[in-house]
Amino acid sequence: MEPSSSARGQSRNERYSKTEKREGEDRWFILDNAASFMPALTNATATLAFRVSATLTERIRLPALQEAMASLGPRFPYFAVELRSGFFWYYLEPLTDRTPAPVADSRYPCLNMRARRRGSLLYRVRAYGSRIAVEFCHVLTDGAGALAYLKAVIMEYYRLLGVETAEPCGILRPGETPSPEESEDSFNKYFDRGMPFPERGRKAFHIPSLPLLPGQYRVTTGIIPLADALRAAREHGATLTEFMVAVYFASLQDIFRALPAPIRRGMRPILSVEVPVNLRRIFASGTMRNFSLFVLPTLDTRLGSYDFPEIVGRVHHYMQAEVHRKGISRQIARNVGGGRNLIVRMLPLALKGLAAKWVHSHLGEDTISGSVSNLGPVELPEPLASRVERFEFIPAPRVRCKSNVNLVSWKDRLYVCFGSLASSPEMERHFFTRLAGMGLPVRLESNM
Amino acid sequence: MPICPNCRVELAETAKHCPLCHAPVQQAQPVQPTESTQPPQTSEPGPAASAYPELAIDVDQFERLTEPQKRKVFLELSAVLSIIACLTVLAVELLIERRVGWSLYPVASIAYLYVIVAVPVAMRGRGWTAAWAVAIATPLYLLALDLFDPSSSWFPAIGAPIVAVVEATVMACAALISRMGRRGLNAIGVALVGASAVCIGVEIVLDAARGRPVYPEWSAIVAITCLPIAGALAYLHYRVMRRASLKKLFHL
Repeated sequence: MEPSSSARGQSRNERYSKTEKREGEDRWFILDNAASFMPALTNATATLAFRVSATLTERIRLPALQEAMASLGPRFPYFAVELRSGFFWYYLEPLTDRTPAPVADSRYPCLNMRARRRGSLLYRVRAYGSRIAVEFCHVLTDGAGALAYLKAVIMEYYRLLGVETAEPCGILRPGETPSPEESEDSFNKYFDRGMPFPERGRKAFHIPSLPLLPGQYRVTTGIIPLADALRAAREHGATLTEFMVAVYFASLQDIFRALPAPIRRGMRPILSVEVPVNLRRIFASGTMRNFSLFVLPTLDTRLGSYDFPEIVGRVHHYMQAEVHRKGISRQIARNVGGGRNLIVRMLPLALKGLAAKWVHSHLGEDTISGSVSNLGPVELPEPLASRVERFEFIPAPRVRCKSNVNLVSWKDRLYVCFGSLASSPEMERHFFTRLAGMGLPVRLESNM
Repeated sequence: MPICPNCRVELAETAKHCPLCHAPVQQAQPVQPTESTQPPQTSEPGPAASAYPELAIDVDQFERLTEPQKRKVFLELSAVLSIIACLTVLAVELLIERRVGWSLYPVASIAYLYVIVAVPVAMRGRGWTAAWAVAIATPLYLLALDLFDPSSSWFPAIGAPIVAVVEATVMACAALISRMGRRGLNAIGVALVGASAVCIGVEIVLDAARGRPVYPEWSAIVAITCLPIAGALAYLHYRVMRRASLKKLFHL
């Protein structure tokens, strides 16, 4: 009996979603759908590297951290890889002879990760004082994958110091056999060929600011009591993410309105904020590769000025309407369908790179004013939780959308981390001033 | 436990340098030991906990080769490549003609090329020593070329004197230029004088080798052309363009 077309499609999806090719010594990996074209977009500044860090309650003991990383290496074989160029696609080659080890932290995080350099890992663990920071290139994974790795490092580090965790609560441990699901490309798994593509975004406003000097990246972290932030969000009938997106929109609008009229007329009037969505919450997946897409709420300033409750309302309804399985499936259909297109597949890598740069610039960065990403509340079992003071989540530096914000909640605090390549901290000033104006106590820290 | 002054992490007892930033380590102040099974009492995240390092560190810088390491790699690589080239030409001739003849010329040339490239690299910072080494290698190379062909001998009468004249003039000019307080057009003038001297010396050597009376002809024309220009350059340098220098002139 002939298999049905849906069964054939499912079987094809299963085949495409397997990123691990061959086994043992000959093992290599293909990139997930979201990462396929990313390597062509990287350079010393736009590294696509983001950071998740945990500040412990006591100073880091380097020998234990080194040992923890070394013992976790085999547990995450899909991370211990280098990027290689094939004729048609990039691929990941295991670096079997290299033991992952911590490196020095820098004043400017997330910079100088050379993804395309032979022998370079696509992630690093940095130690400074009592802080362990993992910086991952987006080619490898997204925030959820990075956080899972950081939790594993913390647990193993403390285990080596004699702090045993009875209930690991899903944290991966050395010695376990990695599940094939961890390295799967879930985009391909949930690809539905029949879905229509989503509409293209319109070109959006970008904050007019000179860039920082090369080699600099400003990180500004605002620490806010979580209960106060949640209360403020609830008062506006929104979730925390929606509330923060609205604050970001309001700040963008303030900057836009404050521009002199002749300059403002030359700028694009659409404000648009990229809000990544962790698809693991919508589709069942245990992948450690990228599995997030974004929605793009917009405001059209030609329609007039928006007051804050109006912005929150628009963002809330947009998010409620867009963040669901059907809407996201359309994006997956567009991205995966493009990757499976025969013409795209037959293009040599160099031409794919040129095309990727054009698409990224014209259909990606051009349509986004900035991004707001919420990693959500981080949870750790005891006795680890009482030994971690804070978590931070720093966005990857972006050349066009210069100021972006990431959020992470830990215990009773919300950490709002701005990463900016703009010489002017205007966006941060507007954002945190608005929060403080709403009565939220904000404590700021910065590396510049 | 020793603590890295930059990374502020605790290092192994035996550590002399921080493995992260390579800084020499310092001993920590004595602290009260904490029970590892009891969570330490901490509080509000203090400024020290959130501070970033003062230095902007590119971790790849620790993996880059140092200048001496780069020189060593270059010398080793160029030696291996030179040896392979020499063995190849020797093998080709042995295979085809079953003797060693013409292949000695490329072998000697490759060896000489290696010396004049490798010696300045190996003796970086000791310029005069390197210059003397190259000065000795050049006549040896020419002598070797002469010896490879037993049917004629040109080195004692022509090769050696010309090399001596050229090397002596170049060394003298280099010594003179290196002692100049302010180098500019005067250095070009000295080079022109040196070129005239070389031409005269070469013509004298050739005349003597042919058994003709020593009388400068074409070299005198070179000298008559160059020396006034050298004089004019010296005049311009010392009297007109007092602040000129070659570095400024050519944006070096």
